[in-house]
Amino acid sequence: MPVRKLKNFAFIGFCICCALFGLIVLASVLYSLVGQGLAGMGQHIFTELTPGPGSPGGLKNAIVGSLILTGLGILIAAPLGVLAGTWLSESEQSSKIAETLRFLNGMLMSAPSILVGLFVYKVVVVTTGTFSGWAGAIALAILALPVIVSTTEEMLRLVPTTLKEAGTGLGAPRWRVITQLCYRAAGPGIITGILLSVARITGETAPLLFTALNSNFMSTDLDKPMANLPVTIYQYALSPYESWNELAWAGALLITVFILIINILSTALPRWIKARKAAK
Amino acid sequence: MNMNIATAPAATDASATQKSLTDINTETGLAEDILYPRMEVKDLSFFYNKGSEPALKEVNMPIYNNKVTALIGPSGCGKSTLLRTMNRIFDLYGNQAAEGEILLDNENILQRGLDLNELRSKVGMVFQKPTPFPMSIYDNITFGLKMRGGMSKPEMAIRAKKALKRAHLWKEVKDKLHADASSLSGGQQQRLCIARTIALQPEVILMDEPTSALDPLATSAIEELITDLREKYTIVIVTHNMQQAMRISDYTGFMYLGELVEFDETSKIFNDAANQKTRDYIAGDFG
Amino acid sequence: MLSTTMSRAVNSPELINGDSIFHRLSFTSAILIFLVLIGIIISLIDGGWQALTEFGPGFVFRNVWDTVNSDFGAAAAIYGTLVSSLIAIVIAIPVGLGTAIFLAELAPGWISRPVSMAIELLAAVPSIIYGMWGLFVFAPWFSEGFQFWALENLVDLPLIGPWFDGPPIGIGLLTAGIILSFMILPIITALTRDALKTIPNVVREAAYGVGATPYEVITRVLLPSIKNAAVGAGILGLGRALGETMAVAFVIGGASRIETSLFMPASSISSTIAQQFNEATNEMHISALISLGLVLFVLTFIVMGAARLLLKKKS
Repeated sequence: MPVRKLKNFAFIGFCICCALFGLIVLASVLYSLVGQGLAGMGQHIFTELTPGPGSPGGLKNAIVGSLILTGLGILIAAPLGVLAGTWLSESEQSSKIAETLRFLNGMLMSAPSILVGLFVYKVVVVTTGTFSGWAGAIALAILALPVIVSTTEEMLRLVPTTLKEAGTGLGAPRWRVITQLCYRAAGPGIITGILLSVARITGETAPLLFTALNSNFMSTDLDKPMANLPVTIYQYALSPYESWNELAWAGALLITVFILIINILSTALPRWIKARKAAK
Repeated sequence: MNMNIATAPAATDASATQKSLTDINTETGLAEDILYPRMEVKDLSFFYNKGSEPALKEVNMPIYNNKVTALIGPSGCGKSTLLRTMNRIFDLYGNQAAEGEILLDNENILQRGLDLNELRSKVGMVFQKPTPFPMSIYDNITFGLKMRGGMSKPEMAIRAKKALKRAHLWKEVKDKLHADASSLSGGQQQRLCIARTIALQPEVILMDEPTSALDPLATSAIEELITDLREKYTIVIVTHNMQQAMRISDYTGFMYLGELVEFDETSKIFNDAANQKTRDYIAGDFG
Repeated sequence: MLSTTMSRAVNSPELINGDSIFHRLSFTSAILIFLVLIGIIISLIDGGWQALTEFGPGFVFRNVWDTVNSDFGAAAAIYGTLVSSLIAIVIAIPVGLGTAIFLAELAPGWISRPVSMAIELLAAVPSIIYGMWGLFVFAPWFSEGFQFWALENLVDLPLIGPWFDGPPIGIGLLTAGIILSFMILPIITALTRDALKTIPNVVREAAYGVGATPYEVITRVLLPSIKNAAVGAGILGLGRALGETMAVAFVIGGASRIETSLFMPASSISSTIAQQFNEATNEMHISALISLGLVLFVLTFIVMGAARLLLKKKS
């Protein structure tokens, strides 16, 4: 009997330690992120450009660049992803093509992001002869696409068939049933999927290395290399200059806070929409 | 049980209906009180998967104009399936197929190349569970009208008001037409779905157990509404509730294992059915 | 009031076209997934062709990465990728399982909810931040807190001793593996926790009902029934670890060598590409890097395909 009890206690202890381990890692990451990030934080981060070695400066161009790249990436991926997800959800259960595409979408989702960078480098950068904002945005769009496709399909499949039948029963053609009823019903879920894909691509560094590259200038020209936070963080963190390291931490904190906000929004938004509807 | 049957209302005009059962007049443009079949189901078989066992076996049945026709039978007997062929909602699912004919005003609605959207605005459908669309009450009512097009906004508003009044819902919702439809109670939602259907002024309304998800009070409101709608519309209702069939229908078809066992005036079916199976079912011996 | 004819299907062009246009649009978008994936494969093969033809299929086994003499082989990068990922799952699978069991079976709701959220937060942190944290915070601590101790106490152990015989500089293959394990921990935890939650309560009640301890119930009844999901979660974590770039690039050290010591600097496929691609000027170098990418693609494709099949079988 005591052996059984002992084993049981050891097991429970192990599980508790495992959970604690994860929490300690998280605490340590957040502690250094907030501590070091706040130390370098200030108004200058948002108003000054990325500096040369050893001199003071901010991250304005990188922040603006990242917002442009992410925004453009989502703008490309969202309509395509929603449409593709719609096709998958409308396809018949037994469809071989749909089955294959679903599998490929899963593979695309798990393809290492650096390979997407190489692909866009070959297709866009080599073809146009220059690193560019466009290349970066396309790389990010490819990363966002599979996430949007699969959440859209999942959400549309949750729309009750009775709703579709009711719409069809009133003489609405299929595409209007989809766009006016199914999208409305699945809307909050699809928006969550899009927000999650924003969170996914915001911190992506590897695919930008060979596409958008980086820049020390304030530029909104999508045909030229574009400054962005992740690559700036990468370069500054690995540099020997303390002022650059400080900027890297500040940038890291900014990105993480942004991603956190997006994550919170993605779970809160559907609930908020529902609550607002109910209140009405 | 028998007591109830004895007190069931007799068909409105027994001799006239008897006559027209044998002498079907299919000409168009007749006055409303003359009995003729609005729809006719002819040798209809239905397959959920091509090549599989039929879910409906050579069903023949008239649907009389401005009457309520009830379909009863144990679950799985094919009554809902029959209903779902009448506006070809089954076309949503690629592998389902119907054979035979269903005539609506002498035109076979099972023919290829038919404009299904047009058909469905003529043959409306109300489902088991209320299916409010995720939009305002007003947008729900005008949804079908917008889909069909060709109607101005003020025309639509008039039509919507009429439909809501007909569906006995106007008083309850007139001050909150732009509230979300899901804010209505279950019974109100179902009447909204009926209003949404009659806004299109269909010729036939199909109802698939429209009260099975509702409480008794909401149910009686819907039943009253159905009786009222009969003046203008032809109604086919599937119900598992025999009392309901008795209360609101003029004709009743009893289905069993995919076959239409018996079709007759409701009073005949419930009081003096010709088929033993029908009598057993009515008496509650199975199903 | 009776109907005008309905068989005007063909002369209702607006509706018919709406449906077919929408169908075509959405189908084209869906096909795009296929095109992008094919595009990635083709561009990797095309870009790596020069190196692959030069060095032949032996490219993957050659242990040489000489940028000066343009002599390349993938062995060191593959070794670094596989070993760091292996270290990651060896740590993350038991810890992830333990955490999942704690969350789903042992902890009361008021503990498991916030802890679950915290673990999910761990998944939301971008990989570059793990890399920075690994380099600036973890590596110095690891050097002082573990590596010096290991040099004194573990080096003489049989078999595993040589693993710890290296410079205690904080970065290297082992550090990369540990950082990777932190990154995949949330995935493994979340997937196994969800699988545990799908087991109906009657199973637990029946098992506890015969007097079993939580340890016995969990290890003999619950874990066997989620075996597939747990293995799938582990493989999915492995797939993530294989392709991870930034977290590894910061802490692996960047040396293209195969060493027995896990303390030695090494390199993975993705970190090699990230660190060298923009500096590579010679065509053969670029082609060799893209070939590495192709190898990585094949590796992840196999691993992820296996994980997907396993997870699918479960459901």
